[in-house]
Amino acid sequence: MTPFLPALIWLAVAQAQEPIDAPLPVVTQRIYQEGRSLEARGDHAAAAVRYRAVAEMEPGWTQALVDLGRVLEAEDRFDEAIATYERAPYDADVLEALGRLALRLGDTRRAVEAFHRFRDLESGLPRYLVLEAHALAAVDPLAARSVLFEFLDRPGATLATEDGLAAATAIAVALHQAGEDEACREVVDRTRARLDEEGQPADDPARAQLAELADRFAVEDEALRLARAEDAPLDGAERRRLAEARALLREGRSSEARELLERLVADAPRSAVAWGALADAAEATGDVERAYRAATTAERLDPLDPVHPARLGDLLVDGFAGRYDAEAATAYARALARPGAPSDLWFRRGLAELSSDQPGAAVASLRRFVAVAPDDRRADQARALIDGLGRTLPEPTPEAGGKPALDDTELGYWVAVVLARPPRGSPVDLDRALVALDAVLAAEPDDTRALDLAADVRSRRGEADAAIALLERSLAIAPGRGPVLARLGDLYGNVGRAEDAEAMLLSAAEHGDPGASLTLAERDLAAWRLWEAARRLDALDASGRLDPAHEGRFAELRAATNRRTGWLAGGGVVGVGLVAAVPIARVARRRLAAPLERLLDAHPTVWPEVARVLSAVRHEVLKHHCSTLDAVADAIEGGDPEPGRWAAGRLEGPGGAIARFRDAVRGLERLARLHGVRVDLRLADPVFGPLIAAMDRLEGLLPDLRRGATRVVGPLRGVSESLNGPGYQALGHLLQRLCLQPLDAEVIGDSWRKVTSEARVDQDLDLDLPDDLPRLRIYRGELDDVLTNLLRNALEASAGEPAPNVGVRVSTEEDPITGLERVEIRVRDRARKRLSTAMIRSRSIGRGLGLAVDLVTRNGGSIHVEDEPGWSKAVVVRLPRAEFQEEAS
Amino acid sequence: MNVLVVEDGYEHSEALRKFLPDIQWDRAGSGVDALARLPGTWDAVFLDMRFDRAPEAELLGDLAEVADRFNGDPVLARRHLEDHQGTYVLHAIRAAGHRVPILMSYDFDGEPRRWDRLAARYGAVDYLPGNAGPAEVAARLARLTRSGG
Repeated sequence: MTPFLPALIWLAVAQAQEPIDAPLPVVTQRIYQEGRSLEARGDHAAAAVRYRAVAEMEPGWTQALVDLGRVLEAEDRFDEAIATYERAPYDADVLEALGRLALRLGDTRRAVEAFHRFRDLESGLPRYLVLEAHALAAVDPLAARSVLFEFLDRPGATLATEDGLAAATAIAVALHQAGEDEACREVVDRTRARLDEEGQPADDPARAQLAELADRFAVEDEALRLARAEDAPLDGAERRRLAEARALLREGRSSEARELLERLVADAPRSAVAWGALADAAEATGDVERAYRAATTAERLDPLDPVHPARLGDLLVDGFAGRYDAEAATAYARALARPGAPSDLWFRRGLAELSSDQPGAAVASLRRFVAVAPDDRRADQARALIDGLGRTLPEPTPEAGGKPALDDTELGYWVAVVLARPPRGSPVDLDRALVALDAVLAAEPDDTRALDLAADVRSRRGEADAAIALLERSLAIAPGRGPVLARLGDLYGNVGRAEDAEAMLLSAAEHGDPGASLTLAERDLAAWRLWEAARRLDALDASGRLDPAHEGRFAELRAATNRRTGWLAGGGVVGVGLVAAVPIARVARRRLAAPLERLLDAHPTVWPEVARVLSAVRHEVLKHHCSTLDAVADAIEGGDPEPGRWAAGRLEGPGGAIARFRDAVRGLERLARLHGVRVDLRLADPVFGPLIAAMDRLEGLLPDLRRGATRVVGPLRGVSESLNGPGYQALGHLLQRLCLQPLDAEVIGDSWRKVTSEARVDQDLDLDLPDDLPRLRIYRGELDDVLTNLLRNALEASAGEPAPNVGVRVSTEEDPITGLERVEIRVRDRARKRLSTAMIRSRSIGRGLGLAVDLVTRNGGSIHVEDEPGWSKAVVVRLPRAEFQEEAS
Repeated sequence: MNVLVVEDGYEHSEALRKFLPDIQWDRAGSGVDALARLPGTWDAVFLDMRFDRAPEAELLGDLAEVADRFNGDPVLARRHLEDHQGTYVLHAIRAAGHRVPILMSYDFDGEPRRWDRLAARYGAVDYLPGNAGPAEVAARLARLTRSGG
């Protein structure tokens, strides 16, 4: 037998295998195919050996790393799998595998980083967004929601996939758990709507889960709405003012009536009747938007009185030219669900349903109207409508248009609501309410609505300890609900548990309860912690949680804080200032949020990512969308409103410049949070603070901009000046500061001293620097790492050779096309050991040198091994040279 | 005046058409597209720098050669070509023998040495920072075409 026969057979077998779509040597292919076969047979350990060999033989072929990681995962060797994936941090497939594994292991930070990097590499695919959104869910659910929505807005994005549904569900649950119910509902609604669009089957388990969540939120909303009813009766003088306003309204003097009522709601912001009357007056003056806001406030303050939703329904029908008839029908339905609703609401509801294309529901409502008010003057009209509709529609089912059937538990809860908080004129019956709630809780012991309501009832009966126990139980089931935390804090306070009360108050404020935030601000103010008070008020204002019931108190506190701040700043009371300044300054320093610099100082690894975002803001927001604002102002001033509409179209909406800017701001703050730094760009950053303020002002100008109103011209020029002048330049300077590092004798000398000190040798470095010392686009710590590792390698490799045995020569070369310069750093040695560029690129080198290669690559550079006359060889690093402009220029 | 706007999006061409209607604007979406249109009668070219939305196949520049400068990383190489595509287009236009004045939309204020080299090499070029408004673009184009660069 010929000695070559086994090799020939082996070769034939290899060639008979399924071909691999990669230019691999036949031997490597053979080993790889063995790995595939072994993996197919379930022998993952043996497959891992083959894949690992292939990965070593062909370091540039990352498929082997993906396969190796996969079989290691199958063996539960997760640490090894992660280490495998991290060997190719620039390959999209590898990064995706790494992110998925990290997500599976609950290592959300690593997952977020992997998917974020993946996003850089595969920016054309919407898929990466879903993966990133899923990873973010556990870390920052609000940010996850934004990323999910960005995904949904992408053309060609499909949600009905395993990744998509998993991400949407995880985000909805995380938001709900974080108490972000509004955001959660938005995610659920958009997800369900999207699945409908994509034709996802209705019986899909993920859809069922989402539907369950949606139902739960709807019920909780109603409970919360009822629980937060805070209507306060007017006193005698206020009632007289109300009567006077109503009389004016009847006389047609609606402007005067409105003026009176605006003052009344400012004095009595918790009075539903005052807000309701204001809605009537505003509507009479033609200001339907103010009327709508007033009417919704009235209903929120007193949700059990049918008058308020009925008014809202009328307003929606009459004031908005039929655009909101469907919403009007819903408002009428809410009114009809309350005791004491007038029967003619059935007629109004029917008409609203009819005009909003709900003929089946309209027939049911009109029939009900005819049944309950057969002698009403509109009954004949209703009958005619029913007849007309009946000719084209099938007979409605008996349930259509009526209230949904309630099970016993649900019904019991609502019975308790009505007994504990009856409409005006009906008696409160706490005993019967408790009986109903006990029955509900016996059937559903974890029903937090019932627990909260039972606590309320017990508290009103003077049973504070029992109420506390119920709320504690409720919060154990569903923690993080601001209003409930606030109530529990009140109860603790009532029974003398001051420390617990304080903790609850803080927690309630943290979870968005406006009352708690205001109480804390009041305390800050009383203790002259002015910065803290101002910051708390700003945060509450920005949170959007400030409701009409708290607006008056908020305004008072704001005014008092501003007054005292101005007082101090102006030196009005020198003595108080001297006493207070030290603690105030200390608290301000301690508590004020950090600027971006804090993140950059603490975590140099984020610099490239921050630079990328800054560059995007400068290029895609300011350059593309804000540079024309002056020209738009000129056009409007010249009588042409059209450019205003055009500019507004580019600025507003989910993909508009303002949203992109805010996404960038959120992205930077999120990046900081991931690294444990509380950056607040609005409050604390000298570059972004003014930019954000200008962008806020620009958003405020959008309505006028859309209309091309001439009054927008001056403010628009002001905003343009801020964004295109100092803002644009400040971002540029920040980018320069981020990226530029001098390469001089001191920097190289520091690294050399470190290396020689470690090796305990005392010898000079042969240093050859140009007169024109270059600056590099790299961060100092990374440059130090690169130099130290290269010098250490050269020193070790040249040990025993005559000194000087290590040298560095720096020069500059130019790219003839782009005009960009690269700095060449030649680390020369007298080593006898062989080292080649191929060895470096395949990482067949020590860990230190490998780190240097990674850092150089990350900073847009290259590393080669070249012959060096007069020496043995040189490891040559080439990095982009940066030009440096002094800020003054 | 006829001006060819070379950009991967539509931001410049839309805004310039709207605010400078007296100038005849046309648009090329990539360097390849620009080279195909240039034999026409153009008074100037308005050239963007970053082309991160152009298809990879239409990016000018040798990806393999550039990748070698990034330790063989094709992703970084592609990003380099995108970020500096304006200069590759400029190079290609001149290499094809077109002497048309070119106004670049890029802030070379921070890189004067680089700009001096490019201006000396390519001639009849000028630049404006990205935040320049339409009025500045019109003035600079007028100056550029009057002086021939």
